[in-house]
Amino acid sequence: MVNSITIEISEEGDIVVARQKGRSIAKNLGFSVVDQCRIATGISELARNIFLYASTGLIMILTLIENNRMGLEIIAKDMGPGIPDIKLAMLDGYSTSNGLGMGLPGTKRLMDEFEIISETGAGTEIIVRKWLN
Amino acid sequence: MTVPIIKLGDNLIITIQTEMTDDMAVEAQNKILSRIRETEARGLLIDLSVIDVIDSFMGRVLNDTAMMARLMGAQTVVAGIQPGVAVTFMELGLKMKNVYTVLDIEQGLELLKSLE
Amino acid sequence: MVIDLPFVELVELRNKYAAIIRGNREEITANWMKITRKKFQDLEGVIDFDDLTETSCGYLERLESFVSRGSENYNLAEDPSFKSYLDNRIEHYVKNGMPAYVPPAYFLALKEVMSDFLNRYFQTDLPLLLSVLEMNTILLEPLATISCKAFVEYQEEMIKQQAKAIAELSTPVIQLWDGILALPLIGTIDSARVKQIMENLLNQIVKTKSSQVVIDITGVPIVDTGVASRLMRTVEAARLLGAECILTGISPVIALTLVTLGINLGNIQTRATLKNGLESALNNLNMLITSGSKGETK
Repeated sequence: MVNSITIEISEEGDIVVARQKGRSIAKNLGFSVVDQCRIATGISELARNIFLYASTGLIMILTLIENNRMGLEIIAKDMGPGIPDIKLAMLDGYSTSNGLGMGLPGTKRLMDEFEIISETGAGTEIIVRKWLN
Repeated sequence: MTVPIIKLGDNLIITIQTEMTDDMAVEAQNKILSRIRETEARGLLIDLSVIDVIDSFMGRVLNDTAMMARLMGAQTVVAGIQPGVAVTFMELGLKMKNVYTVLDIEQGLELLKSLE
Repeated sequence: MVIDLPFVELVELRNKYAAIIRGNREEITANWMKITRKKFQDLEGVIDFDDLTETSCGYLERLESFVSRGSENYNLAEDPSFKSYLDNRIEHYVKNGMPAYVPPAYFLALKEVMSDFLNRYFQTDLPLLLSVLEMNTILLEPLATISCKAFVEYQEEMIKQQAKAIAELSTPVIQLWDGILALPLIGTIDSARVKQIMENLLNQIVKTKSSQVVIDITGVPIVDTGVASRLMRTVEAARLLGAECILTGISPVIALTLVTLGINLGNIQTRATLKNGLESALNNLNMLITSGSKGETK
């Protein structure tokens, strides 16, 4: 069973739509209320990153089944400028947009798995996963 | 959709009723600050009990509001943060600065009274 | 295809096999149960053999209907009707305390019984007998593994659920007084457990509207950095909700660990014992325990 939905991020209100969808899917899968909050917040951070740095992009939410465990995968994809220095972007407090710089490293702490692929000029893809335990 | 601000004695009470977009949060911040100026309020009580996501942006707006309110002479008390929101807030690496936190509005009002 | 026969003859063979079951259902069941009973004499009180007899009839029925279908499939586990029945029965017997070594022997006993019957029916036609015996093996032998696997999987599932239930039981949040909760932590705390404890505590704070929490770690033998930082985070999270935590019962070993690891407990209130912790909590709420004579309200 692989269910997936895709949310286009092109305006600010889409951030809220994306995290609400993510929360309701997490709830249906049986995540605890605290985990639902982690997932919704993670999606919010990823969607805002897209909106801030690339203007438009996609958030995909997939349910995963693997080795008797279930989970949620969130893919954030954009065709924006890319992240020139990923190591720097993953540092607590580093920001190029006047933010707190907690978005990416914070999201990593909220999730179980975190992958980031980015190429300058070609866009960014961030994949995060949270497993149901 | 605007955030209602109620004046009660020397305090302003803000109960956030819906999920907020970034624009709404910034707008609410501006409105709160101008109301503090108008009313010369000494305390600010923000009820977040219906809010189920506070991400880094919202966290920043909240902290900034509290800091600015303090500069203008008002103490901020935040009431009703949900457990999930609190855990997520910590894990994101955020801190509440210049803010008192209480379980609900009732305790918030008591605290504001004791601060006077 | 496993058995080297043209398809038409194969279908015929399957039909004959099914017919033998149909014609001897009661005798097959009886023999099957006799062997099983003999093998597990010592389990007389554990296994309900009447119940098992009924189950055996159910298996035979499904085996017959599977075989009488003219196909080249011999995998009973792929038959939805058989598989769901097997899963259901296995679940039933796991719950009733059947040991895991029973199901394989039980199915091999069926194979034995069926071989006897096939020998009886096909003794005049040796090549056919060989084919049908081979079919018997292919059909029934895998059930030993399949049943064993289903059994163990179900058992593991049950153990997991029990472990979860025990974990929930072992971390109670107690209301000591209006507005005061106690969280007595006992035993080794790993990251999985601390996560669950903390979520439970935060939910209880909101539910009981408590602004004071006494976390007692007298019963915790050792704290590592991971657990300590989770504990700290919980205290911070509780504070965000509007509750103050008071940490009590820090043993010399844990105090040493915390200092050695450089873990800063920050501005958390700490007290020596749960009793002192409760005193502080009451004090924070402007309450006082005083002694007075009985019946006198103070």
